[in-house]
Amino acid sequence: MNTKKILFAAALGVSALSAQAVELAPAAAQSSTTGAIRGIVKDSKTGEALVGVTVIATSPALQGNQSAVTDENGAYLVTTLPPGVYQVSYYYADAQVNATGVAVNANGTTTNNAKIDPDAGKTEIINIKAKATNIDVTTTNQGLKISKEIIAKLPVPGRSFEGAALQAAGTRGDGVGVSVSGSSSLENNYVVDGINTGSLALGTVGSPVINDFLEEIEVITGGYNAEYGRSTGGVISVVTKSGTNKFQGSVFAYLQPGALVGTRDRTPSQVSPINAEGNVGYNYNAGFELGGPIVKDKLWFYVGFAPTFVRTDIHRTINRRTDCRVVNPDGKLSDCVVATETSDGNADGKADKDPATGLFITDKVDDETRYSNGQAYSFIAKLNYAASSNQQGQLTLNATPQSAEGPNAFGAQSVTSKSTSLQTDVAAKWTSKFNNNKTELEATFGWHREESESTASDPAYADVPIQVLRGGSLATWADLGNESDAVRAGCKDGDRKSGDPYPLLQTNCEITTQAGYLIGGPGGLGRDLDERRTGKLSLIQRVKALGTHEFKAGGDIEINNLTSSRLISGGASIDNTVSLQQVQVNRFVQLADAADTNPRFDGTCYLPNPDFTGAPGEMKTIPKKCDYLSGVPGSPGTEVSSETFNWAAYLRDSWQVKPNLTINAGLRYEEQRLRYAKNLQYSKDPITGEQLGKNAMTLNGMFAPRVGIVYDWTKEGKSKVYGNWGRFYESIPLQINKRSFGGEVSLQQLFTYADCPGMIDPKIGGKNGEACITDPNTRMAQVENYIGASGVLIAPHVKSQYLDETLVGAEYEVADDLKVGISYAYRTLGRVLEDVSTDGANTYILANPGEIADSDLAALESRIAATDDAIEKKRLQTQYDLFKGIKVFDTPRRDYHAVTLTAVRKFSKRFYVQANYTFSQNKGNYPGLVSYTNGQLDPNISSQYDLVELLSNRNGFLDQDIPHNAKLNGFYTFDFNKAGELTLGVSAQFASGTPYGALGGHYLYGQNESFLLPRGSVGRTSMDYRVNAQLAYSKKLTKGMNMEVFLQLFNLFDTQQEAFVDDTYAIDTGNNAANPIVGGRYQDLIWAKAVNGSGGETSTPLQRNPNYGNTTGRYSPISGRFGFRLTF
Amino acid sequence: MASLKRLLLLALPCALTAGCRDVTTQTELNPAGPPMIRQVRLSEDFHSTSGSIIPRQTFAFGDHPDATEGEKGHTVATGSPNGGAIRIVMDELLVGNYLERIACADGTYSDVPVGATPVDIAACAEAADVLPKTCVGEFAVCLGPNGPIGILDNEPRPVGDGAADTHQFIDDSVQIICNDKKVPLNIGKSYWQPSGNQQKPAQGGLAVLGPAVILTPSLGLPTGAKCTVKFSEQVVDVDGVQVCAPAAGDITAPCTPGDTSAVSWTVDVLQTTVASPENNATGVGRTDALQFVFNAGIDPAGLAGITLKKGATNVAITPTISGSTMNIIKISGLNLDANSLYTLTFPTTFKDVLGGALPAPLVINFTTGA
Repeated sequence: MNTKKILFAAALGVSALSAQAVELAPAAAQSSTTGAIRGIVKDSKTGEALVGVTVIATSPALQGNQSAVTDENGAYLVTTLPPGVYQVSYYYADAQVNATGVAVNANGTTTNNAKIDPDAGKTEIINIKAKATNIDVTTTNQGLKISKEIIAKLPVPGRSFEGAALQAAGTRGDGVGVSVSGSSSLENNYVVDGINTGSLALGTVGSPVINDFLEEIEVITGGYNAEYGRSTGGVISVVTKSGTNKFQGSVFAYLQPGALVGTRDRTPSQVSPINAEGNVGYNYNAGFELGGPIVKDKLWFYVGFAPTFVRTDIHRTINRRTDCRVVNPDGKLSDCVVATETSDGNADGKADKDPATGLFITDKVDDETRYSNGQAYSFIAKLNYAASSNQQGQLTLNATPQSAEGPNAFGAQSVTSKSTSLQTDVAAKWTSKFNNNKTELEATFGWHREESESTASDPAYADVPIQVLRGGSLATWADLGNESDAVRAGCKDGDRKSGDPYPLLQTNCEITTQAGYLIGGPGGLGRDLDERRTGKLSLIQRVKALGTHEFKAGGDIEINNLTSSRLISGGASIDNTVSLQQVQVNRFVQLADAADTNPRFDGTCYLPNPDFTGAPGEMKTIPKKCDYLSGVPGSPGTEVSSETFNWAAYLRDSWQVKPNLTINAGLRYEEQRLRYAKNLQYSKDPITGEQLGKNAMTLNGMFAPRVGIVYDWTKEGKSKVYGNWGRFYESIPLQINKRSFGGEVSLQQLFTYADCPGMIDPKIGGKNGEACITDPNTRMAQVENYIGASGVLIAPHVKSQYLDETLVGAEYEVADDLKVGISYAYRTLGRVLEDVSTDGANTYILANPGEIADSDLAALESRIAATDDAIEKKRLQTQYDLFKGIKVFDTPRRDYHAVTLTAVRKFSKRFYVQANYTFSQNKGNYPGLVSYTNGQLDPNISSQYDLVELLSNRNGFLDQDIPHNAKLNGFYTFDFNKAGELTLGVSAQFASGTPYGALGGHYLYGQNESFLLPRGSVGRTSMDYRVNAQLAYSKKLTKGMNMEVFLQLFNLFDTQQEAFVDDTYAIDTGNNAANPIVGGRYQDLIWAKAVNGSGGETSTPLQRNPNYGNTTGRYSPISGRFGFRLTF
Repeated sequence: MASLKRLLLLALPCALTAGCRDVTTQTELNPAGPPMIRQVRLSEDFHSTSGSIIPRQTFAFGDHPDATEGEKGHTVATGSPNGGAIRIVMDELLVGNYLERIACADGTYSDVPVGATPVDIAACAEAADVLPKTCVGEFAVCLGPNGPIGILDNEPRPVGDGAADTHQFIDDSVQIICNDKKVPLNIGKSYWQPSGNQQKPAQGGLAVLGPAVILTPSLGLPTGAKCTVKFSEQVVDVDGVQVCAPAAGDITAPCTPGDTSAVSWTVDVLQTTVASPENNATGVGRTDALQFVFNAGIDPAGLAGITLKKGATNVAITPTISGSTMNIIKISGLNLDANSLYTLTFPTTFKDVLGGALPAPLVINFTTGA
């Protein structure tokens, strides 16, 4: 150790312990919550590397300091730095150089080279503004880091980090979350303070921490190393703020009254008289945050609290079709003359349509506003403790209790439900450095908890089934929905004397079979409690051999628990098509083994006989003991409790072959053990006869190699050319435990009115569907379909879902603080895990579609041959037949190619700009864990691969195919000296529309399950271009106190581009399903034929949805938000 | 031969990106080349010897790997010709405009111009006053001499959906030819089904393979006939290529557009499935009705040729036809001599409704009881 250096450091009051020499200066070694500074120190006169320079980093963000000593190459590395702005001081001989303004990001390494004149005198301290480069030459990570300063100055929509994450290249909102690099949003890993906070059931954002509590957001869109796993999308990692040695904080408010929200463009419906548009009533968020020392440089605290109150105004318009116009010979519409044609009027019994738009012409009968209210209370508390600069820890608690209650715009208010939830996160982290900083140990423990409950708003309807009425008149149903007198009068059908201006029109306010009117109870109810306990440990060891190495080894475990409900109010949901006199009832049932003596299984369910061949004397169904599940929370069979245990280990070497050449190579191993529901563990499956154990599915062998190379041709950290290849495995959320490993069976019954007792209800105009609800021993239905009735099997040697990524790119700092980059990414799904059914939805098999090894089938054949037990032989033979069918399913594909151009001018001199453009293609037959076409969120058990007849036409442009995706984010601050500062921030985006096709219903699975035409082949929604702006004025009130007011304007030019179109070509009302027209064109739909309620082919032309292709949703109109922030 | 280095270079990205895995789809059709007939599947009523009629299906042409043993490899239908539809399964989509017409509001049917989309059809489903504005141009349908008539669109009631409620199969667009004669079709039960592929869905199974032309003979198929299918020259795929049939439905085999001669099946000869009395029966009641169930509907003109003799003496009889498919011949009102040998003869002029004759006279000898 260099004696002079130690003495000098001591003289400066720097702890000798904290100034230990780091002889090596290897590359990326950062955790998701801290970063590093590296660089080379040279003699300013000779240009030679200086050995033994003491480098000390200090920052308000850092407790104490962190230090290093340059090695024989003049290189240094200072690690475990919380994100923030640092001063880096270099001490050599009597010289001292201070570089200020060195920005450090979490999970990043900032290069800051320095030059020192060794002969400078002791009294000559040189202070320079750092010229740290903008390029992290140690990593192949792609993405974006957004600091709190940038978040504050840009017009970020929403209040949590997801809105800011959309600034990164290749990201796009997918209606559920942020889609990254062509993946669905459920494939992301959401990390808060180093802890996985993705929701347990689905993998959505589980902890919506508000931006004011954040120090930094990092969006990793690709190229990440072995430390990261359980994601085939991106990693969105946020670091919350910490205290400092000063008491600092802010009081803030974001206020959006409804008056600041523009008028929404109409998207009139062709199938219902009810139009409903949600507008912001108000959205108020205010709060405070405060951090400071408890013990200076030892113990800091940080707390924050921010309640949010939101009201959404659902503006509901009731429209009556007209019958009083004709199209004149010049093509224009005539005036409205309500007399019949024979009386020189224009009424002809057909509703008027505007020939220009094809839309019905309507009179507004009435309108009203119904209100949805929500409250959220964001809370955070954090402690940072530094036993020494090498021994540091932190403890974070954040929680968000929420409640919401929304109206029903399309029917009775009794359908309304209210929900409450509480999300809680606790994260504890400890970091230790040993062995002269060559060794680092980081231990993290986390607890993520989500509790939620959804109940009927009106307790009187808690046990009433929801009923969708179709094919009738709002005039008839007005009483049921407590519609206004104006609606009753305006929609009334009759003669002119009775007040109907259009008497020839049969139904003025028709709700077609394609639409619906909701009555009864709330339908789906919930009572869930999900928890994840996480433990992580990582060890970094830096060694020198053929260059320098930084080895990082680590592992983690996750214990994920889910307790979820299976509840429908009244135990059933009803679809009542009045015009067809037909009722469909859907419900959950639970089946029991014949030997089960539990008295609640006193019913009989008639399941399809798997051995039925049609031969005379054979029974088409077989009776099973069953129970129709109640809709009462806590009632038997309605609660599913399960667990998934995950563990992972990795080893990664960051090998700096030369100072400007780094090779990152890592190997990650993951394993998932998905358990059966607790009540099913170690029991015999009543359906399949399988003896169940504890684990339903163990996914092992998940080896995920990652290899990358980074080369800096400038040797100054101002450039990099890089390449990376990696394999990434999905972590299956727990929805699968609930549904597939929880014994879920649903029953779908189709009745005609003749089947159901009771009289015609004049308020319905048909029978009340509740009359069709039967007990398990009464069979009246025309058709009964059980879904999942034959249970769930696991295909032999099923393997986990993974994605391979190849990435190449280059970045170059073309000017101080300005870097440009280009990259190409290819991401392809290597394998998918989904449930398939080879027997028409009786049995589900969790499998890799299209893949089953012949050896596995042969092994099963051997078992069949070896057993003499007839029952076992039959069971195995059934399995064999089912498994064999897996091969028939298409291999899932998702191929994403993207070329991305980026330009980032990092924040300095009051100016920041970040622009990117991604040209990409995303094709395949599997969009990922979100089923965009039918809205299903059932990761790995979606309907996408359930039935062989629904596989066709799924190949094409996926929903996340956004050929052009450009973003520009930036701000500039005008300094008016004592008058204050004015900051103009702009956020603009331009993106191609979403491809859409033509969807039809499936007789068993319902709407939008059948791709009538190839995916995405019909058209695209409009291009989306929106500009957001923020104008902020800030003024220093006193020393250390700053006041800022700002106005944010979203969608400045009020573009309201089309976001969604109605891509449902045919709605299945019981006899109007259809199977795909393979490779068909739009014109082939003319010849499509309907499939009836039993799945039988008919020669009847398919009825089309008159609203097909019409806009159903637009991006939000212009809106404004006032803000206020007082920082101190 | 490629150098090892080159092979390695080619293999590397493949190995790195999992691009080498088999990603062929099994659900797509085969749009390349001419539209080919893969299978002809007969839905038929099999007349069992017990007299019951068992609906069953069989491949008259082509095959399918999922077919049961009873269905596989059939080039000749073994069942009765009186059954249901004949499904001609194609390997790619045909242009439906040449196979079906759509119904118009005045009860007529209209061709649909090639290229018309559902939007064009919907444009001709408007109210009468709107039609002259919307139902125009090259894709307009249901045009009368005085302008657009509008399509028949009452479903779902009362408004309609912009699609025609019914279609009509274009007669002669596809024909069944048996013994060189066109078999009359029930146009109302014949149609073009563009959905489907070679995958067997759980519901419907092989009976709903597609895309397919479904033809329903109005009177069944003539017995004993050799049958094939014939497509009109107009019926083409999207590339304008005519239909053909490769040998045994093997779409990898050569296939000449317009040539469907490879499709061939033979219908069972006219025969009884139930005979009462059976040949050489004894103890037949003197007044018992004689009843014979045939495997096809019978042409009444052949009844006159049926003879009943005792020795060389003719017995006067009046045969009648009954049964849902007019396939039961009944001779009642008899008062035969006791303990006598009788001979009932169906001559070769005895035919089914489509002219399929008995291949040889059917002779039933029986002896009456006391």
